[in-house]
Amino acid sequence: MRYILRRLGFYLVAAWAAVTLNFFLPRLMPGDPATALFARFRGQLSPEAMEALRETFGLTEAPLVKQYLTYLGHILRGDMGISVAYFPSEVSGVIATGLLWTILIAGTAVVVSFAIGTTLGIIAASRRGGWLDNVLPSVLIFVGSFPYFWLAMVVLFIMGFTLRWFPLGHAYSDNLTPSLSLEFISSVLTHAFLPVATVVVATLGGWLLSMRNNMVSVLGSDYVNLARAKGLKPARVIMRYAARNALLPSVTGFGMALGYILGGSLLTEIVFSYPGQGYLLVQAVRNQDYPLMQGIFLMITLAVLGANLIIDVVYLWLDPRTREIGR
Amino acid sequence: MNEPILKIENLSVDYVTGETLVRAVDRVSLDVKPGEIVGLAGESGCGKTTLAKAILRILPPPAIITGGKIEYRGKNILEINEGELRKLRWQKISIVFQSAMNALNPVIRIGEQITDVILAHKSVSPDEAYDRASQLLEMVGIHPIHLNSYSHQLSGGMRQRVCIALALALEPDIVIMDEPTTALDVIVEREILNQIKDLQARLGFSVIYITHDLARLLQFSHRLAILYAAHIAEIAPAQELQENPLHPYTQKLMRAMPSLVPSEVKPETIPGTPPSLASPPPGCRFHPRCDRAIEICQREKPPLVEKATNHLVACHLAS
Amino acid sequence: MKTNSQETTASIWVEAIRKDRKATAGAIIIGIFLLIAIVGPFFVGDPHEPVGIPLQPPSRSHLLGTTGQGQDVLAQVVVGTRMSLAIGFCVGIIVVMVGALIGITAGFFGGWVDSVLSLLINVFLVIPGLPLAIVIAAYLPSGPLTLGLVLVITGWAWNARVLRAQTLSVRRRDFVAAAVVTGESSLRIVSREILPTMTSLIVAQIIGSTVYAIGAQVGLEFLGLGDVATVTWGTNLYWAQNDSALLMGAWWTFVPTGLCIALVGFGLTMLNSGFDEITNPRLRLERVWRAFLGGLGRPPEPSTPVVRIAE
Repeated sequence: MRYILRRLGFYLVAAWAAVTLNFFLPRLMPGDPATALFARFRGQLSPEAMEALRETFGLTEAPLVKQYLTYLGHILRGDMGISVAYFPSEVSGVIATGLLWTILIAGTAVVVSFAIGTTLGIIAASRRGGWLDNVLPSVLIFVGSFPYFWLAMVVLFIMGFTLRWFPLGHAYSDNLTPSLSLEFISSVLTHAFLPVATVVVATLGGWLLSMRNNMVSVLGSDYVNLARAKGLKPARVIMRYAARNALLPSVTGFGMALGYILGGSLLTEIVFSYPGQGYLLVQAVRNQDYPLMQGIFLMITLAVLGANLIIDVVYLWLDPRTREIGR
Repeated sequence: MNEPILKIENLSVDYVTGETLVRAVDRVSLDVKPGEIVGLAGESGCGKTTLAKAILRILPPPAIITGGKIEYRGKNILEINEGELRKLRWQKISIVFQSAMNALNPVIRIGEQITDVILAHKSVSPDEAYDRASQLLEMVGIHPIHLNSYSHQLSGGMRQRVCIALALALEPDIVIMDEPTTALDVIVEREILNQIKDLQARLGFSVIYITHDLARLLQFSHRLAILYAAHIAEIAPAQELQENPLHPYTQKLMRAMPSLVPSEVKPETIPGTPPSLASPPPGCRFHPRCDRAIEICQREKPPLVEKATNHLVACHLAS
Repeated sequence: MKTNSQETTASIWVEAIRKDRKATAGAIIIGIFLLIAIVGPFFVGDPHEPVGIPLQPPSRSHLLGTTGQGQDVLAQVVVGTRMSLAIGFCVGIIVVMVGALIGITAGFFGGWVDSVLSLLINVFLVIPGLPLAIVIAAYLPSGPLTLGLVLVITGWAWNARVLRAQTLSVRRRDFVAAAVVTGESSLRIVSREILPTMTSLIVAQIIGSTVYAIGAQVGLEFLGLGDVATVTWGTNLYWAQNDSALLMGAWWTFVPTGLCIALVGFGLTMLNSGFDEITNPRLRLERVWRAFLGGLGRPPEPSTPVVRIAE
């Protein structure tokens, strides 16, 4: 438990760092931070509304510390200001609509890719040779060298525009309203397939290679040798004695790669006009909608921190040695 | 007559390093009789651990076995298939590694690491396997509650006892022990050695005991083989070797041991270092460090010849 | 017969690359692209100028077709190579320098310095890079400097983490401990004793960071956060997406650029594959062992193979 509490403490620090970064960024830029932050609101907002917005971001005449505390207070209450691109919606509301879609795409892709890539890595290391070990890793590394969004463009071009096997964009058919009907769910699945598949294909090679390399070192260890000497079945030696241990560094890597993959997944959303955070992000960039951009940044950071906490719990369960720490 | 159950003949093992091969075990012959404790002594890097692991064919890459045979009850281990090999492993020959810390899987409970070998070889229920595992732990003086422990929760001595219990799980004919006490302090070491001796007397298995500690071996084993730079230098019964060492290397080893020389005499050291196996000297491998080396020692490898009953030595001076 | 140490190191590198088939292939790919980046722009026309009808498929006069603005795609790809590689390599080097400065400082001094810097490293590792880069880049005037700055801010932490761990392990070795005891200055110990043990790691990190820098740069530019008036691989893709290349079926406007990005990334990764074996020596053992058995027509086996060559 001590371990989890310590990790939790660290994530709180990280979240605080992200919020603080958000607060200081506009103030570090040349000129009046409010000008930078609200440039696009000119003429759109009444002076009173403008005042309220300044208040949210703590952009008052008050001393910096007081501004900062005001800002923290608003963030803690979930108030991240008003979006320019989706004026006059609140940033928090705009983000909430897209968050689920992003988690659906990125979450599914990351889990599927990790599972398949890791399994392939185990097979590649245990077969020792064959095309799976010699050719497949290079092919997958090559595929993984393309920008995710570029793969998305090609996939969409072939499977969507040319072959017409999959829809061209959005999260579900325009003529449907969200419901728990079979029709709606299948529509969501067919719309999610290409974005997920793109990210899976792009990230597979990395997982395969890291698991294969971990396996090669673990297969040379004493405890795997002893398991072989025990005359256990090869499958048991590989899975229970080698893969189980080789998985540990991969799980750590999983946590660290999460943010990176999420970034790629956001760009993929743009190509598929998928209504997640990535799509919102591009709207925000185009409209210089700083409040929305910062809100998305915060939200994604929190999501990644949450996912990392889950990974820590999984790690705790996988490695009994972690449970002893701090006892 | 006491026929050997394990016969190693002209065994060679090489490590693949880039373009060349490095021979870590060179045409070594050794046999083990039922109930016998055979000691294998040599400096680190002389090939003793390689030899031990080659018997079970569990040397990891880049090792390859390049010649000879290893016969267990007349069956050549180097020629049987994976399935037969699996049946022979642990059931007939088991092994205790040098470092119990590394030999036990850190993320699997001790209990499972013992029961899985029982379940793999015997047709018993998981409950029976568990009971057997408890007995085994008790036999080496560990409370069965530790079946639920992970290796990091045990002390160094306990871990090594677990490994010994594990090695005896299937009552094998031969147990290979590769420096099982190096990582332990002297008191724990003595306890464990007594325990091994005790168990060996009770259960009657053979032991191949590997260590760099010649003094320990002289007390502990029936017969000894001295290994120098991948070659066997001398093989003799323990008492014979102690009283009449023939190889200059053995003699120097004896004089280098504080416990074997009278306390008023200072133990000697052997000048020089063991040769690199990648570029061993020609002829007798010990000649650069041997103060009695003669001309032939630089040219010809001395053959292993029987000088007295069961006393074999590879030295030009002895013949 | 005295060669200076610099030359020897260089020849070791060349040797290491030559020995590894993958590394050789990677080096060739990167060499070709460097050549394109340096001399290529002199052989193609102005990438900005409209030279034909927009969205023409590849033809004899425009080998890779034209963009939505009627510009020559080949010219854009070639000119884009120069800018993208320049930013990629520069950022790759700076990212490692920043990472080395912070990581080695943390590992060498230990104590509270390490605690603070480690926390900083870990926070930057866990905060997702792309959204952070976007937020920072959006406030700054667009251009290569901004791009470089945000890529460094979001990319240094990984290198710092690895180098910190490496410094910790080197610091424990006898020769460093001896230098500390004899009272040599920290700067001297780091530059004379510690850094030389890490050269291969640092080179590997520069290559890896360049892959990161090119990928992230392309991503940010695709979002429109670069200077969309300059020609780079990222802006090429930005314009392709903006001009609805997919809808128009104009695959030639984005396929060549994407292939170039992938080839460079792949080439650098292959070049780096040789370094995997430095950090994980078992990989090399396994490889030579397999190669040896393969040469004898033998498949690798789980049990120690018997190859009768001693008799």
